[in-house]
Amino acid sequence: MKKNRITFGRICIYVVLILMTIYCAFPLIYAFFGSFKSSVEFLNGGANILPAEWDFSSYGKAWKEANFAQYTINSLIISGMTVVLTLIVGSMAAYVLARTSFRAKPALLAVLGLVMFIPNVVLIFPIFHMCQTLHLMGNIWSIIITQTASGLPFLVILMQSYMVSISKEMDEAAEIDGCSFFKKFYLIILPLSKPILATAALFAFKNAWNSYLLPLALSLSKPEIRPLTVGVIALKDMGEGISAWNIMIAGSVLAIFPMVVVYLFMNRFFIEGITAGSVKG
Amino acid sequence: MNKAVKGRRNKRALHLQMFLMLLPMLILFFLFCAYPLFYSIYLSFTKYNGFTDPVFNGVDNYLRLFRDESWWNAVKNTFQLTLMAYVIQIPLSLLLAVLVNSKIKGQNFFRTIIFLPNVTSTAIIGIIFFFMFSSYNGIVNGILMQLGLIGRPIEWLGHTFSAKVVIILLNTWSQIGYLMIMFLAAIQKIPKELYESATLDGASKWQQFRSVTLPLLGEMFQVISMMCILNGFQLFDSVKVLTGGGPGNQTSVMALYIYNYFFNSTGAQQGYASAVSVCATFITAAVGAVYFLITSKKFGQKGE
Repeated sequence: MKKNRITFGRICIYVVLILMTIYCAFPLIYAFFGSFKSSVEFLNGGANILPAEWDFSSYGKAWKEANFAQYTINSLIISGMTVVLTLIVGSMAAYVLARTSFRAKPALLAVLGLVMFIPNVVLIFPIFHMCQTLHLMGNIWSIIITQTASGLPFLVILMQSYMVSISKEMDEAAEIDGCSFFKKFYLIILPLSKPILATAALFAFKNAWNSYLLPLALSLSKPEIRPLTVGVIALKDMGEGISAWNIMIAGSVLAIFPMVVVYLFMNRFFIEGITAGSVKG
Repeated sequence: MNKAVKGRRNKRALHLQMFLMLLPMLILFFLFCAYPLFYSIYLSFTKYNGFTDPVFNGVDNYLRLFRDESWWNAVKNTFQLTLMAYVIQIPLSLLLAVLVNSKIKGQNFFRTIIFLPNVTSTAIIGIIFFFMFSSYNGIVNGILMQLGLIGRPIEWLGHTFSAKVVIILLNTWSQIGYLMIMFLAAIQKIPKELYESATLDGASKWQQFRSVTLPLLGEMFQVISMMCILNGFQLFDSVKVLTGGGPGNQTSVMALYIYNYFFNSTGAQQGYASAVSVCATFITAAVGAVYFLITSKKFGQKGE
């Protein structure tokens, strides 16, 4: 009856959504095109988004002179290894918490839920201190391990709630066939948990790639282990001022766009991951 | 009897496997979460600069904390920014969730782009906002001047008020899509029949929203707002990168204040910083608890 009527309400909906879309996309578009402006043009400012002349030299400078090749490799190592560690440590813990009951379990789950609310900055110095005690300081593994530890509580709960929902029939059959507790884990539960493992991996990668405070504190004494986020922002604080702006904008694009591209191709997984996490609260 | 021995052995093997599989997580948790928390509490009762050994000094740090005006200013700013974030982000993200959920074209496109900021690093986006809002080369002033809205560049980050506006713009930018998706998930869980019967009863869209959507969001609304508030209290990346607390410490927030005392290159004071940390944790927990109690009561009454 009232098919596709252009009503006042409908126009309002579009106006609000389009304005929000512009707000959300603008900084990224600005940064992307800004990184191809020449240093002079970028510093002149003005109202143009597109570069007058395409200039790729900022990337060359960032890559060679400002050590961004190293930072990019560091970011990849940190994020990649965080994913690996998170999946191994987290999936085992999630399995135990999903399939057994023991006296301390409710307390353990409650603690995992509560620690997510402790401000990160509160723990940062003792973590720094702990890494010194363990002789990890200045080693890229200090960042990987602490990044894993800081993400685990949420991801373990996420994986645990998924594993709880897997039917127990399969593991009961396997038990009759003589499978041990651990064997049931890697023969049955792990393959069935693939979707949630993918989500957890995505989260762990994203958080490690974007993390700032933790790697900032742990790379203070050794700039060679900095990831991209810390490397870009260090240029701002180094007091080279405006002369480093074009390197910073190129570095920012390097730090942001890999995630953006991955997201645009796989946005369903990101959004479903959030929704899966929210079911538990 | 043989069976009983075997059963006991199996049980022991099971317990051993359970323990070994939990162990890596427990170790990480202990080393990088439980221990740091207690170490902070211990350090908060000492005088410690990171070089010489910590010396016990009772509650001196806490006494100093109460008189530390710049700390309470940071606390005030944290409350202000969190409150603004709440007032802007919760209604806006709920509105966006409802709009994206309505029958319109390009639903997927809007949802994808509005959520996009969530995958970026807030710290890096801080740099980009810093460029956008810089006074002489920034594109925001550039556009405003070309439109003839302002005669000369505004120093966005040079004044307390406008710097806070930029911080809130950045904070909203990075949070809004995430909150929207959470609301969207909650809205989609509401049974469709309720809306159908409301339509049959002649309820308008607004009435449906008020008497079906809002009350049924109940618990999720509480969870999402709580997240928004707790995020506000952790605010660090954006402020550190955009203003560094300036001008003159006027935009400093709790987390930044603590960080500066821990890692200041000229004379860090870890003992004092720990006391401030403990105080910040209490403030965060207290606000969370108070908010939880108030909203539980409200939602409880609505349910009856």
